[in-house]
Amino acid sequence: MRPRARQPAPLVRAFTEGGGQDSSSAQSGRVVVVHPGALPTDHYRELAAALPPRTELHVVDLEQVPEYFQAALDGGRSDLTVSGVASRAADALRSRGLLSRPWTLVGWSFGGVVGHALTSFLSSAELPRQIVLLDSVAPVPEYTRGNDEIGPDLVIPWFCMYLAAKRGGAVPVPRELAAGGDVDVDTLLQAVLEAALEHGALRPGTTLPGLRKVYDTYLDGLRRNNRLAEDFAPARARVPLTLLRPERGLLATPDPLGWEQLSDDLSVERTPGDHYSMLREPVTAKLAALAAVPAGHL
Amino acid sequence: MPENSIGERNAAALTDQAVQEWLVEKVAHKLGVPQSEVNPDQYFDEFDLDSTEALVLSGELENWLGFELETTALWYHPTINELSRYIVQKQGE
Repeated sequence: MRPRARQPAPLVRAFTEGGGQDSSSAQSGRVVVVHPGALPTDHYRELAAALPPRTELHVVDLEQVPEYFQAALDGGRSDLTVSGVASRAADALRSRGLLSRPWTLVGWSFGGVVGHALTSFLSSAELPRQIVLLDSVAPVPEYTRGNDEIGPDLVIPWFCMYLAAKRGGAVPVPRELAAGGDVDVDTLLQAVLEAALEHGALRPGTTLPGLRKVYDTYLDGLRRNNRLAEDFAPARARVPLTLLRPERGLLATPDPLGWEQLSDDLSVERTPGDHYSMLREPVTAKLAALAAVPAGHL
Repeated sequence: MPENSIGERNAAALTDQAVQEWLVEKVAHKLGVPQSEVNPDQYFDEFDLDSTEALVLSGELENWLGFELETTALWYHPTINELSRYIVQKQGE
C-alpha cells in the first residue's frame, strides 16, 4: 500500500480485470482471494484472466484492516488475532452477498491461514467448495517459530525474491550468505543492494539506509504474521484443500507445509516460479484457476 | 544541495524549509524530473513511487536527519509539506 492519507477502503472488492469481472447476476462462478499484502493486488491479473468466462474474482485485502496494516510498520506488534481478522472478512463477504452460491476460496501465503480460519465463521450452506492454498504455511506448531528465530539466513533469500517480484527480474542471494559464518545484516544488504541495482529491481541511486528500511519493514510484516499464526489454534479443515507449491517456495520441506495435520482431503501440485513470482506465472495461474474452478463446476 | 548523510547535514536547527528542500530534491531525483515539477502539497501516492520506493525514501530521510521516524510517518503525513512540518515539530519535542 502506498502512503496517502488513510481513507476508508473496502476490505472486499471486485477485481475488475481479466476473466472475472463484476458481481452481477449474469455471473455464474465465484472465486475469492484472501490477500495478505506485501505485493499489490494487481498481481492477481493472471489468475483473473485464467478463470473460465462468467467467473467473478473478488479480493479480500487484509491491508485494509488498519491494525493489520499498521503492525507491519510498527515492529509487528498488534492485538489482532487470526480469528479476529477472519471474522471481519467473513462478515464483509456475507454483507456483500458473496457467500450465497458455490464459490472457491484462494489464499496466497498468510492469506491461506486467514482463509482457512474464515471457514470457521461460515454456516454449512455458506462454505466454499474448496480452498486453494498458494505456498501457504499451515499455522501448526512445527511451522511457527519464535520471532527471534527469524534471522537473516532465513529472511534474506525471501527478501531477494520479494524485491525481484516487485519490479520483475531476478535478485540473486548474496554469496556471503551461502558461505555461512557470522555476517552482519548490513553487509548482506549491501550485496543485495548491488545485485538489485544491477538487475533493475531498485531505482538507480537507492542507498543502503533506504534498503535497510525496506528490509526492516518486510521483517516486521513476517513477524506480525508469525506471531498471529503462533497464537492461533486452527480447527480441522471443513472443505477439501489444494496446495500449490512453487519450485522455490518459502520452505522446501517434503511434507505439505503442515496442512496434512489439518485435513484428510488434501492434494498438492507443483508449479513454476517462486513464492512471489508464482502469482504472475501463467502456468501457475492456470493451475490455480483449474483447481479453483474445475471443468464442469461453474 | 542536500546530501544523503547526517554527517553532511548542516548542524543548524532543522527547519520546515530544509526538510522540504531535501525531500523535493530526493523525489525529483528518484523520478528523474526537475525539482520544479515536484509539488510539496501532492500526496506521495500521486508521485510515481510504489510502497518500496516510499520506504527507501523514509530510510534515506532518517539517515539524513540522524534520528528515527515512525515508519507510519509517511502514511499519516502524506505530503512533503505535511511531513516536513511534522519532522520539525517532532525534533522540537
